[in-house]
Amino acid sequence: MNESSDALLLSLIKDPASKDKGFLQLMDTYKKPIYWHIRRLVVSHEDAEDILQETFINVYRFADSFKGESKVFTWLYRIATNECTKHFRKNKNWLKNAELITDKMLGDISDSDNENSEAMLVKFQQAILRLPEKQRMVFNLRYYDELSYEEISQIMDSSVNTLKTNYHYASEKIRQYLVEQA
Amino acid sequence: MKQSEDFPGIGKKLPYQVPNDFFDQISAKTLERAKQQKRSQAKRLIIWRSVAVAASLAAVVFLGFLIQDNQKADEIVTAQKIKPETTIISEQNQPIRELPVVEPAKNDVSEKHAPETKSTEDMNEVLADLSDEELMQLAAMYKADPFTDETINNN
Repeated sequence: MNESSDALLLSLIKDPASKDKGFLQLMDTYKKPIYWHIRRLVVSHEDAEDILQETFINVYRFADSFKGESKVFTWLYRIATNECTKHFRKNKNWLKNAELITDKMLGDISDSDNENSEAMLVKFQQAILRLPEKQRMVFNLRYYDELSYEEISQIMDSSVNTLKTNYHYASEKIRQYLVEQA
Repeated sequence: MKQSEDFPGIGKKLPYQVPNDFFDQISAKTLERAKQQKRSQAKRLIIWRSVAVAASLAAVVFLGFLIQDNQKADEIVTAQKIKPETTIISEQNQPIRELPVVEPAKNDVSEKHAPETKSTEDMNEVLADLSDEELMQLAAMYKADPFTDETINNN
């Protein structure tokens, strides 16, 4: 999505006459990347759906406050990341629930040619879940969304050097965990 | 270098599933929820504003009663303070003497002083009825009266 399209969408949302239409177009454009960003952090689909809706409801309510100082997707990722942080604060058992989900997924993997690869995918997610919150977020944004450190810096309000360090330590911990599980 | 190359053999695939039609329905569902929250928020705002106005009015009325009560209390206190002062003042001064009431004479002299048309004999009868004190008072009055004729007194 280029910036001119984003600007057009935002102008539609800020205009009361076309707010709903602009909102639907914006959501249709960004719902999948935002959903998967959230899902990778919280694991549960139900939680991801709630947080996704809260993210875009905030967009609907506070579209007028967006000044265009960053890109639209950066703004959306920032809202989604903050909503995930709120979710972690509010639900102290979220990690336990996430581990239960991944353990169940490992248990559900049937005998097939893809068993090892499927299991490896699950263990990879379990390794990411064991990371500290900030490292987990940085790793996901860099590894899965392939965002630049500058873009991640705008989302997480952290310096580029700190983010690079976070990603490095996260990668090391994941490798170590996978070796232990092998 | 793509980040996925950090973990060869894993890539970016995720082991998570998504319900069918989830992405088809989520946009409309979210918009409806956003509008519903906006309506609820507007109702809550109206209720809170009404409560605030009512509370402000109640506070103003309450203050008004308080001020009114205080004023009445002040008036009562002021009245109580004034009353003992007037009593004190009156007690300090000597009581006002009552003017001596002059009892009317038993026989009204004015009636005795009838017009000259009355006969002398009647006058003598009247004078005979007067006591010594009354005669002395009558004589004093004649002496003090500047309009009486000396010739009459000599007679």
